[in-house]
Amino acid sequence: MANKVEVKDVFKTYKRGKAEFHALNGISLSIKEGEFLAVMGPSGSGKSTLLHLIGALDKPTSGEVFIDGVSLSLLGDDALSQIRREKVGFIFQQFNLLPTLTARENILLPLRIAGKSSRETERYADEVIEAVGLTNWSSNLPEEMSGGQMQRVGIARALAIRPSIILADEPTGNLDSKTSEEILNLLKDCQEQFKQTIIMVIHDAKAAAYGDRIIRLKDGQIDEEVEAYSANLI
Amino acid sequence: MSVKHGLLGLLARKPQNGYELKNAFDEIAGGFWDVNFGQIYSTIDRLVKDGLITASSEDAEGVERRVYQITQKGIQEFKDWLDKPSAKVRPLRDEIFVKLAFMYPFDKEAILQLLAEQRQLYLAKMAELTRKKYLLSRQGGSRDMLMTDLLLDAALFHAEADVKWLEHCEAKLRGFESIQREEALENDEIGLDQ
Amino acid sequence: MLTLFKTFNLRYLAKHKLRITTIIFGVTLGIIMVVATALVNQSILRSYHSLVDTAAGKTGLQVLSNTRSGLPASIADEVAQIKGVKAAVPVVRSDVFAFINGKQAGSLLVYGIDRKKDTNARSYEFSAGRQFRAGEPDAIVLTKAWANEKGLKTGDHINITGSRGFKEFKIVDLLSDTGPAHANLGSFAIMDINTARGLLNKAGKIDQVDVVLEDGEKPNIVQDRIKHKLDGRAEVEIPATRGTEVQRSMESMSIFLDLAAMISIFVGAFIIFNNLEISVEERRYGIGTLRALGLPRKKIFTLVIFEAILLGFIGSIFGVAIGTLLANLMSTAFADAILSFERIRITDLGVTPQIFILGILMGPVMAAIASMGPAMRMLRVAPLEALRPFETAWRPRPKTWKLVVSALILVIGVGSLLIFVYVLENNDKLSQNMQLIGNFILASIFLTFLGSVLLMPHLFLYPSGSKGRAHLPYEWP
Repeated sequence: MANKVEVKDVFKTYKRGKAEFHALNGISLSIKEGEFLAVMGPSGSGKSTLLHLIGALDKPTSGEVFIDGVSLSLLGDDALSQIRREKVGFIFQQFNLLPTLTARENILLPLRIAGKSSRETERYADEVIEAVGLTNWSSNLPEEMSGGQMQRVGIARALAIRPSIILADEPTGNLDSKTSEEILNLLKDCQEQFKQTIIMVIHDAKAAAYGDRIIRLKDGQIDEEVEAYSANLI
Repeated sequence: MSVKHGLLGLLARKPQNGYELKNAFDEIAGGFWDVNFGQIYSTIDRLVKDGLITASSEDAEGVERRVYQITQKGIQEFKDWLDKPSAKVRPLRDEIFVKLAFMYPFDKEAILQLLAEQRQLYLAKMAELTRKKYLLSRQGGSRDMLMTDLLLDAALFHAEADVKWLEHCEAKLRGFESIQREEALENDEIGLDQ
Repeated sequence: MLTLFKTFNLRYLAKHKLRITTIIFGVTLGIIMVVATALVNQSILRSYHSLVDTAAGKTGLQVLSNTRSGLPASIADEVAQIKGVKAAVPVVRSDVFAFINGKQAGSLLVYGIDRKKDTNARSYEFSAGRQFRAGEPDAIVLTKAWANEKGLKTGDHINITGSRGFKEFKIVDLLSDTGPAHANLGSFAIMDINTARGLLNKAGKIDQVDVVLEDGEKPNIVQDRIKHKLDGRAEVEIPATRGTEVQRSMESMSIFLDLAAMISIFVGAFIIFNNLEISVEERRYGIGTLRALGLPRKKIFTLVIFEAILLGFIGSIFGVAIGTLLANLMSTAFADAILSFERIRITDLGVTPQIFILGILMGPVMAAIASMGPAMRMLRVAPLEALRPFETAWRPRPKTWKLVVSALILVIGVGSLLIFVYVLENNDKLSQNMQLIGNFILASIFLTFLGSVLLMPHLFLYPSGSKGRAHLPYEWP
């Protein structure tokens, strides 16, 4: 199977005054189409940065990120925007909902940005809304919702356009364990049913266990890698 | 030990032979709680001896099979057990702990390596259990499935706790290392002052 | 794009009514004064033209009686012979009282004209096209405005006091609201010259001769020739001299109005710049989110500008409406205070297409210009900015040279205004020169305006102490 995402020798350095902070330190990684990858690691290990680079939200200091074989460093703003809105569904750690829009409007926003709002696409979006358990909250504003509900809006928004890559930054951070399980099952469904590629940054081992492969970052590099089904435990 | 009560519970549903009991037990325990035939048969023997179940023979396709049935006493025992909450805290029986206790003073790197490998193993196992759980969730919900699901949850929560504990061990070991190093440095400085 | 505008922009606007009202108010304020000023100026200009048109028409010179008894009718023919004179139009004129159904209906300025000759000097526009026949004894033509005011129509009768008591006239036609119809604030009537003579007991006499000059003839040269020929039997005046005085007082009023408009545009622009900056800056987070969800830069730019244009447009509509209203009030006040003695009626306050388009376009253009800065800044919002907590959000670093330049322009503007006021009070000669005063004030106000507009972002966007922030990663501890 082709590599959906490829990260080649990527460095990302942030400067703060004279101090430099190396968020990523020459990381290389391939993710197959339809794979579910869980990324673990302590805070500051570069997991979110990695996700941002794959999601075309930021540019590496050096090295390259390929999506479907295309190097992002060759693309201009229009093409990168197109990748963001059509190929990638990003679940943000802090939800990033627009405060003036209702839950459903927030969820439909990517469809509207992509100009793909139709009866058919909205029906799928409504299915997603039902799957994340927000049917009764779809006309509420974010300020009227709990953290968990807002998180579910963020998840539904990322899934609504049925992107080929789902990038999730701590998608279950604000959810109780039962709801977490439902959401993770939903992500797994996306992988199984629509062959969507999922990359999930997560600190909780129980959620990471949903991945086919679990990598662990440390100091901006891959420290450990666990293949889910090759293990033998007595 | 509740292999005993597990078997009683299964026999309370219907009389079964030893092979069927093993399969039914595995199904409920979701493969996480490994019991072998030896354990099953030794438990059955004890139950027969205590008068909680009785055995009868029957012919099936020319092969003699012993089929077990629960007694009144057995039903009573099962009900009493079911109604009482479990008082015991899960005992810490990890080999790893024993290994830790003996290895630590000698080789820090080796113990860190061991902890990491152990943690990876747990993660892989968790992934396997999660896969089972996910497949189960897609089959829709019967009562048995819910029970299996809950049991898998228990295993996962425990494993998660173990992973956390292992991570914690690693962090503390590393921290301890650096404290020692700092102490050594401080001693050097004191030496210089003098 | 439109649905996006509806959900993203309009929802925000709906939630921040005060800010939006303030922006619209800013636009409205500017437009009101511009429209009102343009309207009053236009009206003054038109009145001025109509003054010249009505009192004199194409008349280059007027031969007026220097006694109360008038001039002999033959003098017109005499004048017509003089070199440089294209036509000499005899006029009998008098102020009379009008009575309708036995009730006093105010005074009328009546011109008795020789229809054939009069067309050389004035062009009447008859609304019914009936006019009056030469020598028709009881026919009168009123202005449409005056007739409407008194509730009269063609075919009605009206009594006029003449030197032999009342005489009844029949209204045979009405003058449309152009040219001569504006004379004497519209209280103006024409009739046949002989009818007027009969009414006013001026047989064989006329009150003035309106002289139309040949093309290219200079009024003062012809004036000398006529004076020479008549040799003191009549006065010869250039009608425009009266007009010039009026024109001067109107010009000074125009400058005053222009100033008022400038100041209100300045205040309006101040409000718009300030509030647009804030309203866009407030949405930095949302714009970052839209960027992260894949909205390209260009569209962000379009959204910001389009919103400003919409607000500007709404402000413009209010501005044009209220400005027109204000113009009416102002012109009434001016007419009472300054212009009534000149017998000019400020009419035609109707919004012309030019003023309407000016008013409607100015708001959107003003708002679009004001939003250009914030829109450009939003172009540079990185998608990642949405992921940072608000307090650590990146803000543009204020450029010191920009601050210095804008402050300098402001200081020069304010300074020159102050110096100017000082000089004006202590220098009589300078204060005579209206043109120079006007230009100088406009220039200083423009500088003040420019300076404060440039300074605004520095005052409102960069709180003291903030030197701009480095590009912070989200994960930075």
